[in-house]
Amino acid sequence: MAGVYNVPIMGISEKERVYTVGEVNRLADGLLQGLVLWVEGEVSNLRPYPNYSFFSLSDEDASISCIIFRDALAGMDCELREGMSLLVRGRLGIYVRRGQFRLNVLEARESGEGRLRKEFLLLMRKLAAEGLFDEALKRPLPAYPDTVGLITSLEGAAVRDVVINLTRRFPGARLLIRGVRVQGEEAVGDIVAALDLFNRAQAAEVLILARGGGSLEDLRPFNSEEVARAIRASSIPVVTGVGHEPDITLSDLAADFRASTPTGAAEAVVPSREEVIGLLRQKELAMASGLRHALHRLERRLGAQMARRPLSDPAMLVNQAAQRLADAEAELVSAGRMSLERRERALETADLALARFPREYRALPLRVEEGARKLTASLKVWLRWRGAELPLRARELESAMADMISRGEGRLRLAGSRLDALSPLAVLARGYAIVTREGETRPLTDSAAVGVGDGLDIRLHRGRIRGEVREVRPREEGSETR
Amino acid sequence: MDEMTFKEMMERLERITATLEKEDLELEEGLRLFEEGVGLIREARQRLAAASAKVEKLIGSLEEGLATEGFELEEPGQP
Repeated sequence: MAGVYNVPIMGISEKERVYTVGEVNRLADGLLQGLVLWVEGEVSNLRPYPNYSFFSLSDEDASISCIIFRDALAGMDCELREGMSLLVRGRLGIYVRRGQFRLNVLEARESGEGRLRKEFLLLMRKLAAEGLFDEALKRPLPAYPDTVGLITSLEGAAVRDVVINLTRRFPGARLLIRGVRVQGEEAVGDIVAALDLFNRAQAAEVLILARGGGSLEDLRPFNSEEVARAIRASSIPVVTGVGHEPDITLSDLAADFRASTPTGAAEAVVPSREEVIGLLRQKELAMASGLRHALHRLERRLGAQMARRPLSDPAMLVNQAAQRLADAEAELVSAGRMSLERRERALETADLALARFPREYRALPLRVEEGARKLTASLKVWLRWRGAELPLRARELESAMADMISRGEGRLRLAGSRLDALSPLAVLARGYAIVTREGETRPLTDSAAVGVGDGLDIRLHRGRIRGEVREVRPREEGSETR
Repeated sequence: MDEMTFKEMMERLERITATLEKEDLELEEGLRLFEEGVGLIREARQRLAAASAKVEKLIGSLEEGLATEGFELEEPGQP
C-alpha cells in the first residue's frame, strides 16, 4: 500500500512518505551496499539444511546471524561445527522477508579452537587428571530399580521421551521427576540442587539427568565443573541422556553411564518387559531342570539300593519294619516264657512248701495258692514294666516307617503330577525298558544273572513283552556305558 | 507393606535357581523351592502385566518438606 495520503493521519504530514515494511527492509539492505568483509567469531546455533546452513557467529559481546550456501560450504577445508572458531568473508545484507540483518558467507575457514571448546577441553583435562572420569568409579546400575529419579525440564521433548519409554518398558518401577531449568544462568544451580536433593532424601535408586538436543552454548550447564562434580559426588548412580549432540559433555564423562539420548537413558535404567519375561521363562526352565536332576539322583539312589538288597519297592521298607516288629515280638514272647518258667518255679516252690506242711495245715494251701497267685501277678507286673519298651519301640518304628513311606510316595506323586514330563517313569517314555526275569520283580542289571532259555519280562512305557534268553554275553570291559 | 519389591523377587528367584542347580539337593527341599519359585514367577508376571509405571513429580524441599504429585504429559505437538 504505497502512496501519499491526502489527509494527515496520526501527525504524518502530506509531504512525508509512508513506506511499506518491505520497502524499509530493501532500503536498509541497499544502504549496506552489499559490503563484503572478513570477520572472525565462534560458531553456535548451527542449523544445517540441504542447500544452506544457518549459524551465529559470536564473540564476547556480540553475535551476528550468518547463512552459508552449499557452494561456499563445499569450498571449506573442514566441516562446520558448533563451537568452532571461524574466519569468514561475507556480504552484509538484510533478509527482506524478516528484516533480519545477516552475513551471507562467501568463504570460511577454521581459525583455531573456539573459546567454549578451549574452556571445555581445559576443564576436561583438569577433571580427568583428578580422576573424576575414572572407569573404576563407575557403578553398576540397579537391575530392577523401584524408583527412578529424573532431573530435567518439565517441558519439552526430553521429559516426554523418558516418561513414555520408561513407563512402557517396565511397569515395575516408579518415576519421580524433579523439574529443573536446563539452560540459562540458573540451570547449573538447579541441577546441582536436584542431584543433592535426591541424594539427601535417598529418593531414588538411580538418577537420569536428561536434556534434549542443543548447541554447545545450550549444553553449557552440562559442561560445567559444578554439575560434573555433583554427578560424581552422587551416592546414587547417575545416567546422562543429553540428546542429539555428537560431542560428549563433561556430565556424560562424570556419569556412571552415558546414554546418547533421553530415550537411551530410559532404556539404560530399566529392563524391558519382554526381557524380564524372557528371563522369568529361563528361571522357570532352570528350576525344572534342577528338580529333574534331584529326581534323577533319587532314582539312582533307589537303583543302588535295589542292587544291594533284593527288594525293589517301598514294600522293602514295609518288610523291614515287619521284620523288626517280629523280632520285638519274639523278644516279648521269650520274656513271657521266662515268666512262665518263673511262675512254674514259684508254683513248684509253693507245692513243695505245701507238701512240707503238716496235714493239720491242710487248710493252708489256699493261702499258698494265694501267695503263688500274688507272686505270679507281681511277675506279670515286672514283665510288663521290663517289656514295655519293646512293643513301644516297635510301634514307633512301625509308624515312622509308614510315615516315611507315605511321605516318599506322596512326594513322588506330587512330583509326578506336577512334573509329568520330568518324573522317573518318563524315562520309559523316552524308550528305556525295565527287564526282569519272569516271575521276578528285581530289574536285571547283569547278563550273568540269566541263562539261555530263561523267560524275560520286559516292561515298556506302554505294555509288557514276554521274551526268552537266546544268548548270554558276559560284560565286556570298557563297553559299559553310564 | 510386606510385598516384595521386584528386585527382591528377582534376587530370591536367582537364589532359588542356584540352589536347585546344586548337586546335593534333596527332593523334598527341591519341591519346596520349586513351588516358591513358581509363585514368584507368577507374581512377577502379574506385575509386568500392569498398565504402566507410576509417574510423579517431586516437589518442595528437604527443609520445608518434600512431596510428590501426579505428573501428566502435556499433549504432544510442541517441539
